[in-house]
Amino acid sequence: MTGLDRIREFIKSELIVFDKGVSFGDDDNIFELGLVDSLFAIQLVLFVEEEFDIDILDSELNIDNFSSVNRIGELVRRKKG
Amino acid sequence: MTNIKEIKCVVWDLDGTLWNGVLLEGDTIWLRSDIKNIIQTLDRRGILHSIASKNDRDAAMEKIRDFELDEYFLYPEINWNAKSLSIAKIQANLDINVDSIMLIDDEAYERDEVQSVHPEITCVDARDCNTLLAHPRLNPRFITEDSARRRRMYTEQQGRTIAEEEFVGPRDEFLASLHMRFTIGKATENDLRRAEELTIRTNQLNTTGKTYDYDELKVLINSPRHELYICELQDRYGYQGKIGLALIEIDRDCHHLKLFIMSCRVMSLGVGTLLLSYIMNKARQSGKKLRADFKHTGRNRPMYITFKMSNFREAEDNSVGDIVLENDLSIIPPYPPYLELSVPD
Repeated sequence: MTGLDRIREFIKSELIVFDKGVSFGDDDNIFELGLVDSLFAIQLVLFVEEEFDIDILDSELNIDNFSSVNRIGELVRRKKG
Repeated sequence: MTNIKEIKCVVWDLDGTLWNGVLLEGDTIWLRSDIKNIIQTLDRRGILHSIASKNDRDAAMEKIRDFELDEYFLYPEINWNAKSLSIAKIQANLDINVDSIMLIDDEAYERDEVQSVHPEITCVDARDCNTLLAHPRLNPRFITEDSARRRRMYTEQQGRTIAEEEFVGPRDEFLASLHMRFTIGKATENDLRRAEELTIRTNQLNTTGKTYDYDELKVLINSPRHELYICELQDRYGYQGKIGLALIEIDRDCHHLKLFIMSCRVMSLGVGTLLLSYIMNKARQSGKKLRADFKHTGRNRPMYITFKMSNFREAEDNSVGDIVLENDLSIIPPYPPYLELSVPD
């Protein structure tokens, strides 16, 4: 699995989406799609840190960096770069 | 205001500590003097009990039932693992910090083993049991309705966890099956002891870590410039208690969130941002900005993540760690559809 696949799988398994049959692309804003509760947000940040062995700085913690599969991918690439 | 940290859970060894005799050697087993009274008294104070014992689980549990103590112990660890591992499991199951756990054990090497892995834990020799009831860290300032019910709430939580593990289907359907009722209300004087307790007991989901005592809170609920909200949660397993607190200062051009606390117990139920959404909506309706104080305490990063991922941005940082966050209120998370919400008029 590529890094993007792992991110997509994680979001799929943890995000609570009430509209059945909803699917999301790598550019779709997950904060607009489903129900991002505080637990999901915390889990997502910790997942990205652990999975890719990076520390997210306070200044990097914002919706823009985590809004879609691709945005998270970009953040990881920047950090790993 | 006392600064010593209250013990939330006492973990008991069995042979030579809870009772005299060695169970598996066929000894006659009898409870050590006053143990039952100590356990019941601490239970009424809202302090939880668990067990870390190297023993045969079935035999030990049977003995504990004979003594009619089984209902008091949450997540007992009775096995042949290192006690430090048992402590780690109890800590994870209860979701509390290890520095709020006290181990009672008659064996010095067990206490040392646990202490070496968990330097922050408090270990007490079983011979000193008679000092426990007067121990300052086992004497919370107030006994609230929530503290007296605490064990029952954790037991109900065990029921929820099992139901969730056994539930086949999407997580949102499980959450809907809990029939949660979330109530946000303005705090009254009756709520203040619990409110003080929340400021002392909550570490992870706490924006500033600042504690407020009863008298300070009483001034605030009577202040025209402040609003203190407290919220409670009920579901089909029982009453979860008062689990969240928010203190807002109403300024000329902004609502300033001075303190925001959510009990970690309810985080997995997806209700963590409900109170925050309510506060964001209130600020938007009044046409004012929303700001929030935040201070890194070394433990509250989950709360920092929650705020930042709820679109709060850092507006000020005085470089000694007092941060002011600001939200432009362009994105307000909707209330989850799987629960019933009631808010003040």
